[in-house]
Amino acid sequence: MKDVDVLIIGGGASAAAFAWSLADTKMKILCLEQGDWVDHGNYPAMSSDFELRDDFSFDPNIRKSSADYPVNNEDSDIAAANFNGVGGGTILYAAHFPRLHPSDFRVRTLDGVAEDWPIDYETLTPFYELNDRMMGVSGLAGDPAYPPKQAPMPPIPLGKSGSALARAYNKLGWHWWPADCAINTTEYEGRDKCINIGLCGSGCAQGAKGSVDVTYWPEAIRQGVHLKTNCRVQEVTVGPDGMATGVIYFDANGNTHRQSAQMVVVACNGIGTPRLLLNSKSSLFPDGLANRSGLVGKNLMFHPYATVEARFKDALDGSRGPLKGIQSHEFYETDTARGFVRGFSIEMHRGHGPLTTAMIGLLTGRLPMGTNHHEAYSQLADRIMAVAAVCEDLPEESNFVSLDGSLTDGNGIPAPKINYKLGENSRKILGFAEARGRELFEAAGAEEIIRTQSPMPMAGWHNLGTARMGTDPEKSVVNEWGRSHDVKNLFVIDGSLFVTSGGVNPTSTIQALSLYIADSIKTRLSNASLFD
Amino acid sequence: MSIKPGFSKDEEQLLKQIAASVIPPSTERSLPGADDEEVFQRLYSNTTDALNSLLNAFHELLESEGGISAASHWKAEKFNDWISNQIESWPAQSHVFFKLFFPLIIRAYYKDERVHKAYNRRPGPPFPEGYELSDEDWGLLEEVRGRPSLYKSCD
Repeated sequence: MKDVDVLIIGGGASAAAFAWSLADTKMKILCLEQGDWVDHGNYPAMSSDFELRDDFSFDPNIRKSSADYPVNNEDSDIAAANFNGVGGGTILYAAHFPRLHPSDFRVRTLDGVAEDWPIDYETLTPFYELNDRMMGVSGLAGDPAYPPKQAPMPPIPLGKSGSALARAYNKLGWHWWPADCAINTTEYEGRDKCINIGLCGSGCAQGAKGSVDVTYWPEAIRQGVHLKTNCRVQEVTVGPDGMATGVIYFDANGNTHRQSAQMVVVACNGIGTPRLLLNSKSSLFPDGLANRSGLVGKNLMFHPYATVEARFKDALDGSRGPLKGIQSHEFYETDTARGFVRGFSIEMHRGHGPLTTAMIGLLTGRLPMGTNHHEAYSQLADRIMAVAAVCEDLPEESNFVSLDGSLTDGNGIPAPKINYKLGENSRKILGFAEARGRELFEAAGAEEIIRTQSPMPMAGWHNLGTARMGTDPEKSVVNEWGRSHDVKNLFVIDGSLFVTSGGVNPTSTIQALSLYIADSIKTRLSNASLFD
Repeated sequence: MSIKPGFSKDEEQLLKQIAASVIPPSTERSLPGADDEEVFQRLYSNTTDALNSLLNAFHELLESEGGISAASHWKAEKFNDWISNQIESWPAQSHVFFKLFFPLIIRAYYKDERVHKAYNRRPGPPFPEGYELSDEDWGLLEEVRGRPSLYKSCD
């Protein structure tokens, strides 16, 4: 393809929203995605093997599709998770769609740690609202944990699991509220409503979940955006003037191509983006592109999860229904009496299918083999529920993404290595959160706690902070509207931008940020100040 | 039904004897045992990658117990005591065969439609039929509605 105006790398949550927003400029927009479109007819929910399928694992080292790149997690307390293909992480996410809180943008000011964001909650509010409409969000107005907001669809049904947990929250006097979820509870924008398949985490066969392959991308493509799949970008190229000139990429047959562009936008997530920038070395940028601050890849934040699983006497929902239902923000804001700063949200995890239930029973010693096997299984089936605390992780430069010295993907491009240890504050939050999970299940009348994980070791699906935004080029990689401090036609629009992690799932904020950056670009296009 | 290559007829018979001991049939619950032919065929087809490891571990186990020809060893009371010891010592002290076999037989057994039916689970894939989810009592939310704002204002 000849020179394009805008070249977007990656086809996930942020890229789709960004491309759709920018499409009305009528610029020539091309997106290169290393994976392919996902065939909804191949989702696990379509087969009886739905609990045995590895091809929709969130771990790329298990999935090992041709679109995936390996990730070295050997020096990380939490293993990275992702999905590569059109839709990115939204293909496998649970579609929990909370916003950050206003305080998340002012952590330095309020708590004396990390940095403040260069923007605030009010800046993102119109983009949160626009994104909720585009993705199709269900929820309920009136949540005292947030400034006023209104979801376009009514909330997900409580079910037996949600009701049991809600009664426990009320007994303890803790906050709870129906979670905002990008899941249709009514027919919405041509997509049918949720039929409670319960496999949100391995792709929604019904199409009721708002993954961007069924929300933004069809709209963006209809407006003229060109999306090329099976194209893996090796590096972003620069000219002698220090401006990005385009990319070199591999096609599905392993052939290399050059694609020139007036503007390059990186949207490869908090691990893929620093990987690409660090792989884009040149004489002008010997330490990687846009890395004069030395912060590309640094300040990696996950959300450490504290999970508590309990067994109940009576049957709950099992795996029927969306994984998430209600949430609590009782412990979200800082209370110094707890011995740590910031906090966490608590999510409900509804339950498991028959096979997963049996495996959990076996691994936790609740499902004996032999004479009592069936009686024991009957006490587990549809009776397990979990809560997960999504804990805020503070940015630390000692947590970072680097390039692995020997591991490469199928095209020979160096793979990322995760260097991550839980910080002291995160450990304290995890311990406190686990204790609250136990307290909650005791109030719910659970028979016993069967398993806890703090942190959940495979839960690195929120990869944040590795090309953060800010006004100071010494302390950030991009400016307050996503443009690289070092390369004035290079943008980052994904979770790498996060200055702090908050204590909620990030997709809603990632997309609001990408819409905000697209809007900022359109404003500067109109007054010809985009590359000033 | 053909025996999976790698297991002799006698070996498969013993494997089924073990399987029936770890997940026995239940007439009360209308459940097959794990020695059921369908379950076994599923064990083989699910286990493609691990079948060689399972087979090798099984042969090691047999060798350590005097071989498949040590007929008296696998009969009646002696077998029951032996398998009980293996079950009780799982996973830490049990033979490597059992460490592999228990998860594999569970994967085969709990995919069985008869098992799903016995636990009120509709057999087959979740899509396109889906499931019902009760809406329960939203009145539970009244206690929360009246609470003051929880979020910190940053004005």
